Amino acid sequence: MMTVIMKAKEYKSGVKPIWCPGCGHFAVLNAITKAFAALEQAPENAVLVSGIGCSSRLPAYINSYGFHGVHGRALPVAAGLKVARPDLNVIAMGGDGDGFSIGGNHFLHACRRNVNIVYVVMDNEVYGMTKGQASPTTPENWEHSKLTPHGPEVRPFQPCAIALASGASFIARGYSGDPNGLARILFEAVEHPGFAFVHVLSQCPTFCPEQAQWKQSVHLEDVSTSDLVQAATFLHADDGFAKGIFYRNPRRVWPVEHDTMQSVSLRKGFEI
Amino acid sequence: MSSLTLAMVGSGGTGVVALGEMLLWAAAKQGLFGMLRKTFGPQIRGGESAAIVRLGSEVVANLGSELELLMVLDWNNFQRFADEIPLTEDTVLIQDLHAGERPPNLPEPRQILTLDFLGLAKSLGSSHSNIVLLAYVASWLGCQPEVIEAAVRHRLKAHEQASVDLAVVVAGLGVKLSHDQAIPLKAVKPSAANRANREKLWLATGNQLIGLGALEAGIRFVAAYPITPASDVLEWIAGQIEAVGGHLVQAEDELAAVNMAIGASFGGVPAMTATSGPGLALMTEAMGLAVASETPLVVVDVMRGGPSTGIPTKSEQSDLNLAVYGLHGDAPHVVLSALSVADCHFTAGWATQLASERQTLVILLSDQFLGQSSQIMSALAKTDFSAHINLALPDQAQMENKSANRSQQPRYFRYLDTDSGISPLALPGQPGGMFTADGLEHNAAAIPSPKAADHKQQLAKRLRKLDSLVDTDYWAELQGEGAILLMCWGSLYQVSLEAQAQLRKKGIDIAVMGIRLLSPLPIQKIRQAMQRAEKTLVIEQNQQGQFAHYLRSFDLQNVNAQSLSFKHLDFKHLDFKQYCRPGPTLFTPAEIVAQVEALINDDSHNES
Repeated sequence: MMTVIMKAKEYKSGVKPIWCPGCGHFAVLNAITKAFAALEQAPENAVLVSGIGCSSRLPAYINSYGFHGVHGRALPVAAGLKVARPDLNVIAMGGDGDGFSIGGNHFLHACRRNVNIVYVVMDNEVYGMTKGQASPTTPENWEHSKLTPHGPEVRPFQPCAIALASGASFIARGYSGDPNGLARILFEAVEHPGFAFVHVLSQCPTFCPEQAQWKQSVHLEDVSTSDLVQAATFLHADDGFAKGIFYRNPRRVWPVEHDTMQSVSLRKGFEI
Repeated sequence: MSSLTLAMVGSGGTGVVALGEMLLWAAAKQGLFGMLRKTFGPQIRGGESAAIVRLGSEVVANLGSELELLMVLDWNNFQRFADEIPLTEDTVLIQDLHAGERPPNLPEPRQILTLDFLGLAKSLGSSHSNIVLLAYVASWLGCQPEVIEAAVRHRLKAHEQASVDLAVVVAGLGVKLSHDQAIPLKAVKPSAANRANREKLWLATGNQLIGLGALEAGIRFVAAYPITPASDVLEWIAGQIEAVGGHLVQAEDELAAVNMAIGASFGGVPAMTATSGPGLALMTEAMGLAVASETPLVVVDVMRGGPSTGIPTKSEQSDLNLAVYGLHGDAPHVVLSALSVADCHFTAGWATQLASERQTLVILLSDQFLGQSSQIMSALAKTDFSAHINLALPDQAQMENKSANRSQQPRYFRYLDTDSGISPLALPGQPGGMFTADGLEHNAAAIPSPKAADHKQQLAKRLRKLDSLVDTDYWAELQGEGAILLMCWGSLYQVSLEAQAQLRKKGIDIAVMGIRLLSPLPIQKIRQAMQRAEKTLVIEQNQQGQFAHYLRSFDLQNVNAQSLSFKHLDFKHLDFKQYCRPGPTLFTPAEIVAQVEALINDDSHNES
């Protein structure tokens, strides 16, 4: 693949983000541009694919190709694109509602299918674009949504543990307060052959100002194991604030290329 | 055309569907044309099944009106098929000695032959009464013993050699039986020309031919989620697509399937998915995305009885409303219908080309009858359809000027408002063409925009892309002239042609129109065709008359005619009658003939 030397900021498209001041997604945007600079990524060979939500607006802000689709379906679009065009660097992205609620089924199957794409979920534990409803990762007792005045009263989704159980071959977590650390994780995720899941704690200052406390809670845990049981033990004990690469175990990537007989006539089977 | 319609019925394990397949294959080898419809109960395996075969001296594209020969290996659960097997007092019945009690309340057949097919099979240690029956009927039809043997070997080629050899010997008993016991019917004979041309014959289903048409036109990515009766489109493609350098992905659901296809297509690889009613409903959100983001996409809907799970194994034309109106927002797109089993090939190719050249969604409507009926036909010619995309040319000056990368000004107008409405398309990997395709409303530069002017411009351009489509010659097939215009779409076209032939024998000439381009509907051409006839009858296989309602939504009388070129035509009297009914029973030529005759005798239509 053609490589280029570009500065990180040259990977920004110049389109002004719609995000609120202090939004964690700015840091994710910066981390992606830094990772691209480190990867010497030719911008025309990268495609950022997203669904719907605040974070899903990100592709338009990067100087590359992008696809901003419908709610919850970033992963199928990205998988179809990568299978059809294996020469491209395809990165799917979106938020916790997009990826774990409406798109939850695709998350499971993307993990097990193991197409060589990266999936970045900017998790702020809230639906921001629709003005602050509980998402699958919202704490059980979060009472700030008019839609769930008693709090969601439902156990939060455990993205990394579910990714592991579903067969993801690369699992990591970054934090919007540490864009350089996230850029390093993204670099490794792109280099990983197979489906790489990057969970990002990306704070929402508008609807969850309490997330400003995250910086005291986040701790580095570069487990980076290839042992499934060790990874499972770690992730089930995880307080949700560990950051680093947790699991990395390359396995067969889909699609598997087969030796097919070329030049077989499509029409032969119809002849009597 | 002389023809013969035979039905074979049995419970699970009696192999009546295999019987039908072997009979059709042997008949084709003998120079006959024919068609096979398999019909199943809801059971996955076992339970009751039936096959209907119509053989003819010329191409057979529908199952006719009457059943001449009914063959029953087992009466158990026959009632489930009674609606679909039009037993009459002219039908000859052949039943196995061990078939059990003939149900009451059936018309008394003209003649009953009770033969011990199972006993003959058992005499050789076989249970294949279906093979004895096959050989008996095929031999009576004039098939040579070696052709019957070849049919058995062809059908059982996956089986063990010893059991195939036994089946061939068992077939010999059936051939012998045909010498002793004639069937009191006129056997259909192939024409001499057919015998000479038989090496050029094909046996294919509509679902397979959709796959062929799509792959030949350039589809190279297919995303699949299983659904009856569309799965065999996908299964046929799965067996072929890797050999032409493409991929098929089995998706986790229809939502994934359609979005995968959109993703591949965004990458410049022509893409398709196929489904049936419930799956089409799930896909409608993403189909709107294909329209808004101007991503080429072909979605095949093999219609079945609805709504909801409905009647998954039977045919109906009841998804028209969903296909035409189902998308949210103002979302212009193309809807096509395949007009015969063979036309599935042509229309799938056309759909593929239209999606690419117009950068939009094309929904191709087929149905269970076209999709899962096997038909003997002349080998189909390749079409010229191609999924070729005219790529946007990168702006060399911009590419060479590195500073352009940092410019706030977009370099490339993905959604440029052109005269045709079609904008230059760049593909990922192409320098100088970078943009973000978007389901959000956007401006010409692909930047999200909620502005009224941008919305208006982009809506108008997406609608304009389809304007010239109504000028295509492929929009419909029109046969004959007459005082009556019989208008239909999809699988009813071939049945209507046979009704037309039967009416001609009675001295009544009618015109038959099968509409292939359902949206955008070429209403001016429809007006002209209606203008040439005195009365128009619209027929369709759904309860509510979905096409008739659609047609009425246009200003048929053209009261506000704008077009000068049609000013000399007076459309003021244009009106039509409609005849619609739901599936699962198929339309028959006799049913349509009766409707046309009723219309001729109905003078109230001429008032005003």
